[in-house]
Amino acid sequence: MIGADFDAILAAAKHGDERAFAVLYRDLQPPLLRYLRVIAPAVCEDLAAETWLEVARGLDRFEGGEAGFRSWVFTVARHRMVDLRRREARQPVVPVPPEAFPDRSDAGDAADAALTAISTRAALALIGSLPPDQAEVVALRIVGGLDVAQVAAIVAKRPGTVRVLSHRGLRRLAERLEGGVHASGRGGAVTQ
Amino acid sequence: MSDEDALDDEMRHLRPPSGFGPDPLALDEGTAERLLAGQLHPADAPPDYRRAAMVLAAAAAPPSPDELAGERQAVAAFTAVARSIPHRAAPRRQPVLTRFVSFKLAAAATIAALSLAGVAGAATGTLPDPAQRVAHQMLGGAGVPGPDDHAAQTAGDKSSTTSGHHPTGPDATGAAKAGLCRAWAAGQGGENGKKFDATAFQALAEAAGGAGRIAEYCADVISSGGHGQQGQSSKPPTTDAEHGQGQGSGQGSGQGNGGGQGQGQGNGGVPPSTRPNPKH
Repeated sequence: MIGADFDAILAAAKHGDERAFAVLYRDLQPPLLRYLRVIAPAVCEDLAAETWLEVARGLDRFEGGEAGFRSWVFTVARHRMVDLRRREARQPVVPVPPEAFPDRSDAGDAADAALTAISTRAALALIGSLPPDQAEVVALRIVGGLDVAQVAAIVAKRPGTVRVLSHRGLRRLAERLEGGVHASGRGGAVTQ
Repeated sequence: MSDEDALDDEMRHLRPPSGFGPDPLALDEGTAERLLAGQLHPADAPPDYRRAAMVLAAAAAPPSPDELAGERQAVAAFTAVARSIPHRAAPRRQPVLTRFVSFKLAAAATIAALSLAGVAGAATGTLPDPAQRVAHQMLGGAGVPGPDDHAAQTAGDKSSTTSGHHPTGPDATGAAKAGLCRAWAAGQGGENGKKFDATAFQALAEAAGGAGRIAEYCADVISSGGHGQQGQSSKPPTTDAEHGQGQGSGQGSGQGNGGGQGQGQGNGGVPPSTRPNPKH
């Protein structure tokens, strides 16, 4: 987040100031790229570039503060992705390699140390392996730094739906990471 | 989510995990929200969510340099866009100019061509209807769709391959200005000039900072003998995707209307009135 300087920076960018635009880019490109990596990993960089072009073109029409700007940029990115999906078959889900995560049998500090070292890429891939609607809202909240209301507006769902989806995603994430004990034991009981 | 997943989730909620003690993954709303907001350190997360919290933290880790590798290209694209808009900072921009913005350089070239048509038309009294049709044909023939979505899409595709080297923004702006100014000067005081494509003249007025300041704004162009921007025709279109599109649209229209205007676009210095009017 840029903070108190945001309004001045946005105004300068609207006037065509390259450095101001670069400040906006540096602040938002990493979360934007990570969000796109979760929902469309194969084309995330192209989509990000398209998003910034559209932002550049629409900048002088944008009115609002930093939160609104973030929401707008992510909304633009999502539209780009939806357009792409309309034209192409959906990207196959790339399974997360098991070695991306420490063995469940690791315990205590050793496991924590291994997890601490988990790369951002691997983390995004794991989030991206959730069901798509869960993956998207979790990504928007976690890497986008957006609240429930903002996410709801971006994905065109009700806030309550966003809340449920994100909580389910969280739970599923925990199930996978905590391994077979809870999830598969419970799953076995449920499916009997 | 698959049906099976949905069912799984639903049943898990419906059926208390009686045989397994309390649900270890039960999460209260507040904790879930703090996790999702990145406000809960993994060490403070419920035991069964510690790993998940670590994954979330890793996903939100500080940026790495490779994530900003596209900065130069993005800024170059921004600069090209900004330069394609005359006086971007002009206050209270009207929607008509905003619409032109979305067509970028293609639109700038179109305006220039329209202006040449306007000069020819002003001399023979055939505008504005033909000019209006020319505009539609140009925009349609250039494959420039109306909605922002598609325009952005196509421009984005091009930008991703060419935005690294575009130095030509000011040329198109200048070309549009020159064309508009000549058309304005030719039509000044006459009915045709006023009727000719009012939207283009509104754009000119916007760029000039008001209708009353067009003469001042155009003074350099008009006094220079009506020569257009030499840069536009001397630069290979392939150096700039938008530029190429703009020229293409001008020539396509020229063919559709007899050829004179397309040439006029390419050689801004040739007085359009010496060209045969395609309709007369």
